[in-house]
Amino acid sequence: MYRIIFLSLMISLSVSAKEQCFSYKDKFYKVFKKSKSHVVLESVVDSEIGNIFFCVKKGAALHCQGDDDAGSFILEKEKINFNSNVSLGISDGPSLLIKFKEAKSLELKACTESK
Amino acid sequence: MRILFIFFIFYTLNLYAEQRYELNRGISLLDQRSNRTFDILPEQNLQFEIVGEGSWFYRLRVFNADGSEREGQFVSAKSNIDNGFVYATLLDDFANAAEAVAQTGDSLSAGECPPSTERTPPPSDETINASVREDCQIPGTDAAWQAKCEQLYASNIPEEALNYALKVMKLNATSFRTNKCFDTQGLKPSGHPSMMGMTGDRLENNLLANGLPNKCQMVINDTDDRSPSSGGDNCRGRMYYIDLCQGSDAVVVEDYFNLGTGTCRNGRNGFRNGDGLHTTVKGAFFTHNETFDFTNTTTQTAQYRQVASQVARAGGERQATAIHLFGLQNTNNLASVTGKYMHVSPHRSSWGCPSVDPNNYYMIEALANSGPSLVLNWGREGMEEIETCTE
Repeated sequence: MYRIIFLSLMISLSVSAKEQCFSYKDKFYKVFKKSKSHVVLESVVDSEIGNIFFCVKKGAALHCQGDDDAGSFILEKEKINFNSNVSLGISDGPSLLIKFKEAKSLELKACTESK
Repeated sequence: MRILFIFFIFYTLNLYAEQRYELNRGISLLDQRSNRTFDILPEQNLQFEIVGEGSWFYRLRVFNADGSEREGQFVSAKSNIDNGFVYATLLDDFANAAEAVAQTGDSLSAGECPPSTERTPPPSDETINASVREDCQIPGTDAAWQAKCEQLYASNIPEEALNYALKVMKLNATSFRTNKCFDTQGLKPSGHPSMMGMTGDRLENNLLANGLPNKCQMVINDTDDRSPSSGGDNCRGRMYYIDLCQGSDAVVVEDYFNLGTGTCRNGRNGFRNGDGLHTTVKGAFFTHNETFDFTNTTTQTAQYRQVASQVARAGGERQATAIHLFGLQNTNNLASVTGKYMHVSPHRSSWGCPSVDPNNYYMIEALANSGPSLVLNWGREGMEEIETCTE
């Protein structure tokens, strides 16, 4: 019985460990792996506003690029580096634009800390 | 005696090798009986016998894999056989011969085998109709195609846009010549759902090795003509879907395509070829030859599942039909890596994809099935000369 509880706890911890969050301009975003090559970036407040990014592993980092010109970023263990503007949602709205004038690096935290 | 026997065996085998040929590359044959050129591939396991020759072509008998003979009067350029069946050379020869005939006014009646010593005009009247405007004289097309091509000039398609599209087709009719810019900014990784294993090398040296395969269907998007159906924010342009192979007349279907909000809604980014700018980009694209399901690339799965149902109700496969676009020019060569696809969409704008009404899924399928195919995002201003990226 204890084993089952322990395993369940480990599984739930490992699932939540895949999720990391960051904040930018008073908004909170969640980033997590959907599969080996796909990362989802979405609003913490509204998970409907998100996007899938296709990633390729280069060294220890994941180089991710969106579809429909959603932008690109590099995901490291504790930070996310934005190469360009990144868009979440859809063109007709609702959408969120994480906009930068130049490349920017943001710190990733456990989602419970950043909220 | 043994030596004579070995010579006999060698001679017999060698003779057989000279009589029967198999394909090691895709080529085009002309059937004089139907006056049509068609493509054949090594996988079809066809065999050939040479039954006559002209100065530049062989007359062939064509056998199916089961040994039965195909009906028709087939010819192919000598160089196709002598050089291992190279498709491009055949079409080049057709084009050269067409020029020769246009100058001399000679023609060759179907079925007539010319003396091998004289310079032979082309084996049909295809590609050589001097009355056809030059823009429509594209190697590998027949008189019927060219007549339909002429009809396009009476449609609503802007003449400049049509000329541009036909020029791209002509430059790439027999080999991929607009190859200088398409991958300089990188392509999507081959493992991406839209690429299905495609690489720049495979596109260039396999799918486009013999030029643009699809001369039947193409799409021209007029970025200047903003449709009133856009909802007042200028985010829909005019799309022309063209089919020059179906029916007796040219088919032109007019509808809308969605523009990128970076171009249409605030207009700040114009048509810039960038990352994350949400722009529509101008220039010529060649498509992939397979569709993919756009639902796999978005978190808006509920909306795109509805789109897939709409496609299914309209008679298509249940998917949000999409096709990867490879931008050939400096003005659009980031389209692959940034994921600007042609896809069906429930929205009235895009972030740069020339997305279309779900009921037009069949257009995307046609571009893929006969693809790679030509898609052109055109505008009066800001078009790069196609020659800049053409070798």
